[in-house]
Amino acid sequence: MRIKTLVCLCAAALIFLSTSLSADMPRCAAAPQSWYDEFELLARVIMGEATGEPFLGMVAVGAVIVNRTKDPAFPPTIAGVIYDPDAFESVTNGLIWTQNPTDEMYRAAELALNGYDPTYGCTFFWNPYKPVSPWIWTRPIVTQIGNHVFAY
Amino acid sequence: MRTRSQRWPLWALAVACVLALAFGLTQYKEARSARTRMQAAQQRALFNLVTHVENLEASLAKARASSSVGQQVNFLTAGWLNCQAARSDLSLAGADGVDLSGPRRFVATVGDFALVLSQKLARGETVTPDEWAELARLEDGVKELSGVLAKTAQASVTGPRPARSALLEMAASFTRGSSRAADSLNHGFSEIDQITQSIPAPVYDGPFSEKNLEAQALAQPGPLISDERAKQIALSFLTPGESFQSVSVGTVEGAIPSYVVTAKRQDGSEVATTVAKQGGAVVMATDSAPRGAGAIGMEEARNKAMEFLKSKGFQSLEETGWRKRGANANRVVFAYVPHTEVSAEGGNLKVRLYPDTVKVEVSLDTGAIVSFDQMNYLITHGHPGRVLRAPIISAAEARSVLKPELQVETAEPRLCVIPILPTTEVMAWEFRVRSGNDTYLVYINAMTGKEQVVLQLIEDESGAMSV
Repeated sequence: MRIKTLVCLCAAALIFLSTSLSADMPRCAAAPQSWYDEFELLARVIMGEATGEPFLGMVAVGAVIVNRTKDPAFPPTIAGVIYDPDAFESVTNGLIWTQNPTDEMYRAAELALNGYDPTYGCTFFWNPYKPVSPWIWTRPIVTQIGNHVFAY
Repeated sequence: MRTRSQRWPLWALAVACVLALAFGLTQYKEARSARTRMQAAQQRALFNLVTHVENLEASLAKARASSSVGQQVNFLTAGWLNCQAARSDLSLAGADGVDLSGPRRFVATVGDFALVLSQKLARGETVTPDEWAELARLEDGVKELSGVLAKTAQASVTGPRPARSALLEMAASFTRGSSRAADSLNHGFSEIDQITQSIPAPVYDGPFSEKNLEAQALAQPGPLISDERAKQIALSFLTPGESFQSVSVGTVEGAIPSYVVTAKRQDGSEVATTVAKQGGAVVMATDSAPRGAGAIGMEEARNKAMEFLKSKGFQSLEETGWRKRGANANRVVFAYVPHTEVSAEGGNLKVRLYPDTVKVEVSLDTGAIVSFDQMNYLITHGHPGRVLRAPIISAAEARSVLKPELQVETAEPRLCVIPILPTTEVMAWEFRVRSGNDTYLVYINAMTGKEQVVLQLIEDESGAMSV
């Protein structure tokens, strides 16, 4: 009886392991298609970084990404900024591909791309209630929207 | 002795173990392959970076050595192109934990400076001795950077790799420890960061020059207002008379210190209005309420936008473009600019002020105004530094500058002020021309007679805009 129990437990562990390992690998919710452009990419990063934030906070996150393209310290394109190594946790861990953005997030991306910038030119944002690099606190903070502070 | 019925669980366990081992090996191989590909991409970017920076150094040196203006333009433009490529390489070649903003800023600024000089020469202007000296100084910085980059790239690939058994290699891959190659990369890029941070930025007038990167203040600041006054202004702006579940007031600092009034509805949507502390102007406002399918046409949306602007005191605004996200979008953004007049011989001339943009977004279900943005207008309109003089070049003289092959569609060209940089604008004659199937806006500087800007007009189901 003990051996049977052991075998059943091992089989269950094997099944769990294979399925959980598969789940850990980020998969695209929808495969990139030809009509995907920076608007879709921006909306996905807004989803990854600002889910649960006020609408203005979502627009602000999008505006930070757009502002970075105009700053010589960052890549000159939106895709370049988004895919800059380790720039956004939700890109690094694949979160942006695990679900689709909401209409609100698409609207936030659209406003940011149209130049709407409630951060007045900020290029950094972070959650002050989470552990971050001490260096980021040297940036001058301009505003706080929801759980994010925005800085130059 | 166990019977066959008692031995099957052992066999099942053995099979399960073999399957688990096979699965683990497959995953390990895939992970190692992905890691190898990533390292290869990083190596390629690093060596490309070395090449592009070396080419940049050579281009700058040749530009300074050349006596031909045409060649100088070529070399300076080539330098800019190599800077753009180097910026892209830096993103991929960098090391973990090293801040690349310093090297990126340096490379971008050098390229920007080279391009500005190239454009000066192309316009027939002269590069001053001070500017050549500045270029030489930057070239020295690039030379130093090039040396460290070359050493870093070499160190990341030279030396024998220690022989390892497959098992040891697999064990090492599960541990967090930097390899010798990663150590040299970290060290190299730290040194690069220090070098680029120590080189002072050039003083010039270009997109990446310090004065053009600074945020700009209000053109006409007024007296300070209280947060209560800001709340009153905000609640009467986009949706006057509406009651909200809660209203909160935050602040945003920077070049235009402002209050941010957020009015929340029961359904969770909100109206967020940013009001300047000095003067109480509404800088921007947005309503996040979900909208229905489009029910009104573009003309009605246009009328709604204009009614809204007039109700807020804007007079004599002209539409310059519109944009919506696809043919079935339920919102449309209109852009407007004001005009003014300048005295000239023969009477006053109307001048469009393109930097002073105001944007209004209209919902196509009910015609409601769902966003407003006049940040640019508040920064430039009425700025004391803007002095409008009568054009030196007449409209006819400006027209003679255009290529004969272009079909000029403008019967009467428009006089306008156009932005060249965030802090620089010029007065120009605007011509709408056609070349083949494409339409363009060509701007001829009204003071110098030189072609200043060419924009392509794109009109489709998503909007009418210039690029």
